[in-house]
Amino acid sequence: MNEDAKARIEKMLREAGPILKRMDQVVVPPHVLAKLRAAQKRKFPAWTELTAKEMEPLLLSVLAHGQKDGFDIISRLEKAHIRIKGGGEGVNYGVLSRLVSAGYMQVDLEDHGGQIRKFYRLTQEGRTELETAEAPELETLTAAVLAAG
Amino acid sequence: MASNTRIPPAVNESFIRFASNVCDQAKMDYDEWLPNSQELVYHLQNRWRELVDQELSTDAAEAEALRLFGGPSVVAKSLRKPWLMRLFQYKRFRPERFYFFILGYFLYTWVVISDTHWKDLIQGHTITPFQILLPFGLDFWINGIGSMLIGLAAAGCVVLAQWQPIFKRRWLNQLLLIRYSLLLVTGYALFALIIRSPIGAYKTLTAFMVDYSLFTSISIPFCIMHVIGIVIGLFGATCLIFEISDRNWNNLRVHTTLAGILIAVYVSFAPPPPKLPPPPGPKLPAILSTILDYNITGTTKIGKDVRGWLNKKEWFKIHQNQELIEQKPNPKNAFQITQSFHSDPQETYDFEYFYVGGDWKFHDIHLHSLHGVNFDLDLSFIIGNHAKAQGLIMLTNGVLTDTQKSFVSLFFNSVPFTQATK
Repeated sequence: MNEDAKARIEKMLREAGPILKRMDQVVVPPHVLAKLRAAQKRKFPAWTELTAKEMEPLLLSVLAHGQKDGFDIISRLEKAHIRIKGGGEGVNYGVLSRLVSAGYMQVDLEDHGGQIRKFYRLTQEGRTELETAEAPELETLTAAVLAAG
Repeated sequence: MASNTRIPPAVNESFIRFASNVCDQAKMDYDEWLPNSQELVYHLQNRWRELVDQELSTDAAEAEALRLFGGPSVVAKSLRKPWLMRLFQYKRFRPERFYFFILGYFLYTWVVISDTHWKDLIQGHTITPFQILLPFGLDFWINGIGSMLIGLAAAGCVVLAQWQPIFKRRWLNQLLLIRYSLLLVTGYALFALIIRSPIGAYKTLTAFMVDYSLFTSISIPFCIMHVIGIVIGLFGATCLIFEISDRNWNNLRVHTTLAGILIAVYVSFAPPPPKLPPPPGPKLPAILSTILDYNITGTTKIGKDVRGWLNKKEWFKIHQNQELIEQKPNPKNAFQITQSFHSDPQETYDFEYFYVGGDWKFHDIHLHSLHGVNFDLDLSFIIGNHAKAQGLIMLTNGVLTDTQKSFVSLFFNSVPFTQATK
């Protein structure tokens, strides 16, 4: 590094010093801090990423604890920071649809104030499939999803 | 859980449009569309409320909810079922199922006509493609073409039963339940396509290659066209079966059992078919051999070629010195006589000779009808049709390439050869 460059950096630090000092003294209000943390968590959470195939036993396992609607399941997954690799929340509906087609789940349609809502329920075939499924950390992930509700 | 914040109409409309777009791209069936789109809208609405609760603005929450949900094409891809399942099972794709059936039917019919026609030619029978298509003939039913048409009628019953309210009347609806019985008949088409047709094509091709050695290269397009015809025909028949079968297993079981019992009763008690007279023996080679000792005039190329063909045939050398049944002079030419041999009432052959320099010289041959296992297809083309014979000579002289020969020969029997080669 030559002398000119050193001099330029020293000048920049001298100018930035007071600004940084003032920033340390700024007190961020708690509600703004919470909002910032929520935004940061939303933007950069530590996600557990699964493939669609790995998500299937997890969904079966979650539904083994009672029927749920799609939004409830996906919200729990999101709160537990579990998602499908390379896809948004909507891809979970594809996995649910596949499990219904395979006969592992059954859909009950309910009318809620003119809006049809789909509730997913595990079938006997689904229970058998869940018993034979080999998924590492299935119990841990299921517990995390159920706790997230 | 999100609060019950009221969603602005513009945001709601945006979510509905997004969900409709996803369902459209996922090619959902009519009955899947509404619950699935409402499920997606419900998800987006609740996610939007959650984001608004986190103090995001209306527009920012809308954009964030859609971003978190994922692109419509990615979500649609995950929701889309395999294309084969959609084609066979969705009500939405009923027209496509009929299109596939029509395509499969025409291609398979072409295969059957081609196969049966060649087989009959090799065996010396005279049958036209039109006769194969007639529903009174055995070929029409034994090859499954008739079964496919019965399947079409059964599929028509399904369309009728779901069409106008008049067809929902009890007695009419019961009548239309005959479709389940017809399903059993349609199933025969699958058998014919999977088992009978490939075996029949193999036998025909083998016989064809023996008797019709000029067109060795025809085997490749023959096989390709058969595979295409059988696969698409199979696809069309399967489409039809899925159209008839609405997975009402109770109806299906009762009616197929009933149809099975009726067929079994018919097979058990039906009178035996009348015994046909045995086919005439191989008389053609013996008759043709009588011209072996004559020279040719050289005035026609056909005459030369026929002579060449005959001399190469082993059976032609074996059967000689046959009885001359009729001999009559040709009134138009003092030097020409026509000999007609009627050893079999169904077979007629005319040979023409010139008496030149104190010797009979072979000039031409006319063949009107042939029978017998030793019937030679190459020869029949030469002597059966002069226009075709000229084309065949062109083929043998190497005017056309091998590929051209193959494709020309595919249509050889249905298109006048002079037109095909011009």
